[in-house]
Amino acid sequence: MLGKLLKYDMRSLRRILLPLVLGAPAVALLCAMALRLTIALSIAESQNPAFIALTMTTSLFVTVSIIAVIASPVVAVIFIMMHFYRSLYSDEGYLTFTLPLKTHDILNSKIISGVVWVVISSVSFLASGAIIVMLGTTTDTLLNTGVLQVLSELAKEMLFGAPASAYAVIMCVNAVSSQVFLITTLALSITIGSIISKKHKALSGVAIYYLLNSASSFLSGTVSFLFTLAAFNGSENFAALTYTTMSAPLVGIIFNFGLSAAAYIACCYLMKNRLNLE
Amino acid sequence: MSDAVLETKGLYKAYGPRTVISDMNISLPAGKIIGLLGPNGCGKTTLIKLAAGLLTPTDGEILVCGRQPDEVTRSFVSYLPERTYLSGSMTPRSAVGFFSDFYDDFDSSRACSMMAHLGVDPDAKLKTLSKGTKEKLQLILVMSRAARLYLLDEPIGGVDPAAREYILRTIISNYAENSTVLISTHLISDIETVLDDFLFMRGGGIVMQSSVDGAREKYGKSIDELFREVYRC
Repeated sequence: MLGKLLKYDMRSLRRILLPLVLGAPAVALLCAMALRLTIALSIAESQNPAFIALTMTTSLFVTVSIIAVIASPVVAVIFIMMHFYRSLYSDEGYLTFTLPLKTHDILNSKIISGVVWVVISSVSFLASGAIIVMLGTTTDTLLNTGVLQVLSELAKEMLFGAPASAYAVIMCVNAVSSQVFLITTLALSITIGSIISKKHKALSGVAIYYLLNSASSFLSGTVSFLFTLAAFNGSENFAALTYTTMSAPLVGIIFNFGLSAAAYIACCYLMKNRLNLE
Repeated sequence: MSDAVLETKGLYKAYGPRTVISDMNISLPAGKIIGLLGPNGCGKTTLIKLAAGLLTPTDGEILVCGRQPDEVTRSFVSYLPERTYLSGSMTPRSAVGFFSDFYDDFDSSRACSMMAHLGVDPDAKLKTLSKGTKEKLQLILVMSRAARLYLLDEPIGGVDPAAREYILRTIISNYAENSTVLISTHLISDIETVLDDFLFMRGGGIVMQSSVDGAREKYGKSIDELFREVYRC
């Protein structure tokens, strides 16, 4: 049953988010072309009013498209949460909660589909950034060879250099754990908002998320501080600094998954025992 | 264990300070079409939602075939809400596929046949359909299940009189002998002929529970007339 619900959730999110994750690299491509043109025009240093107008237009386009690309993962998260709210706590919830499914299956489906699409939108965002930097920051060659060289060396180091590759894996897991934490916290916030508020459920969910996020940021800040303090133990040696740098993402992973588990259990409990679709 | 399909024991439901259901004790048998009748705000929809598991009781118990509403009861309860619960991006055909995926007791061919009878375009997006057509579709989906308990909240409120007749015929001809149909409505004269029993609700409680024939015999009035007398303003 989880598989069936997941199929429908993935399909529903794909309908909304596919244009967004494909649109971001497309906008990035146009942005890169506009950026190349802007650089070429600025090199020419012409005082021709048409040149100046064209430079201003391309610069404006570059600015707007960079903002659009940066906003794309944020918009993806907003869409995911709108889908979560709509399918559980609006009219569609009358169907979802009367399906012969266990509460945790419903929640699992929403969280898995949400995390998958957040990861896809993050990849789309990174690819868009790479397109702008690689294609847009040079006028001599197709790709910016300087940036390409730096990136390929970095990739080589991460893939084949033992400590660097381990660190890269840890960083990737840390990034995914952050996305899991984001989605579970948002799910819990919307669930609490829907229970405590009658009229402004989504707005209450946003307020609850702000509170939960502030609390978790304070907690993670305190843990990081204590961790660093313990690592240095009063001395300022380089080994302690390296140890802290390498271990911080590991602590982040444990922290993210720990809080995600707590948010998941709380959300599941509320959905099972406090559901009130008025 | 009781043989009742739906049973409440000291059921109490409040939304904040407002009590909607108060100390309700009912037991509905299998194999009946039961009308849940009463004025607006008397707790009909709340009772149905509690049975569907969409609300949590404030106190007391509600049991469906001896179980508190959960994923097991949902597999044999067919619920029709008073609102559109299907996504606007769905088509009637994809809605049939959806129900077919999740409910083992769903009969796709019966649903398609009813859609053809009622002139529901299987490939139109739901957001383009009229409110009445959406209601017809939802009723088709709900009545295409071989459920043990049908919870129908205002099933004929938004459809035209001609379709009403077909829908009522559909309800009668589609429910199994051991199933119970609980219909909440204020269109009493329309459904009176199909009812076996009825419940009159007021202020979150039951003020009268009887068989339709028994009440007609006892009071010498139709249920519609009796309703007007009981709820006279």
